[in-house]
Amino acid sequence: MAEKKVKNIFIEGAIPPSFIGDSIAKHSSKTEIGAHSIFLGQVRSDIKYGKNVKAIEFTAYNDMANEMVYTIREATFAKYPITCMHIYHSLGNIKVGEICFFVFTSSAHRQAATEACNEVVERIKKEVPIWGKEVFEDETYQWKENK
Amino acid sequence: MELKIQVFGNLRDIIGSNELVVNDVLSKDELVKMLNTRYAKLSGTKYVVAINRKISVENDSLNEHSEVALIPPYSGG
Repeated sequence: MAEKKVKNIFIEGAIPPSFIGDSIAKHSSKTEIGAHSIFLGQVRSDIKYGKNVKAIEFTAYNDMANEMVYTIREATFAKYPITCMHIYHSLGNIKVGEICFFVFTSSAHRQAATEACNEVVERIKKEVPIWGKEVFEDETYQWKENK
Repeated sequence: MELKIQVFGNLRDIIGSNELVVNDVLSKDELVKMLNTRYAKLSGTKYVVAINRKISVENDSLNEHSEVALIPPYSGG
């Protein structure tokens, strides 16, 4: 049996746009790719109880989360003809407007990349132990819950 | 038998810590019952127990090597 290679998806702090650009650039030598699909989660300034959200503070059960993502990743590779997949999620305090979640899939033709990307995003939100705490301008907070 | 329990999300506010230690708890159901008694607010709160990084769906037994965590609903992404 091949050794299970669990990657760490977590990045401390926001995901810089330059990191996303560099990730795209790294694929230029993989000439079998004809389509990329990218999902970016950005922290939204919701208004709750008349107060603006100024940041989301993310925490996770890192070991379990990375194992869950490994399982999702393997299942997605088995289901769709994709050539590569990259997944990153922020930890810590991420301000409104910053990127906290990055899923990147690539394939020869667009349908596989698009469907795989959507499925990975949905499964991570639903199945992976990550928690977001919405911090308001007055430093009070409330825990989010994914629908 | 001493067992370390990891605590996540809003449960950290209820329990007041990221981690707690319990003694002589031999199964998941015993653990939940004990915690819900010790922390009254916990019994009205949604959470599950993960044992060795898997959500426990039955009344699994616990031993000193069990990696145990209290897991509220997720909100990543």
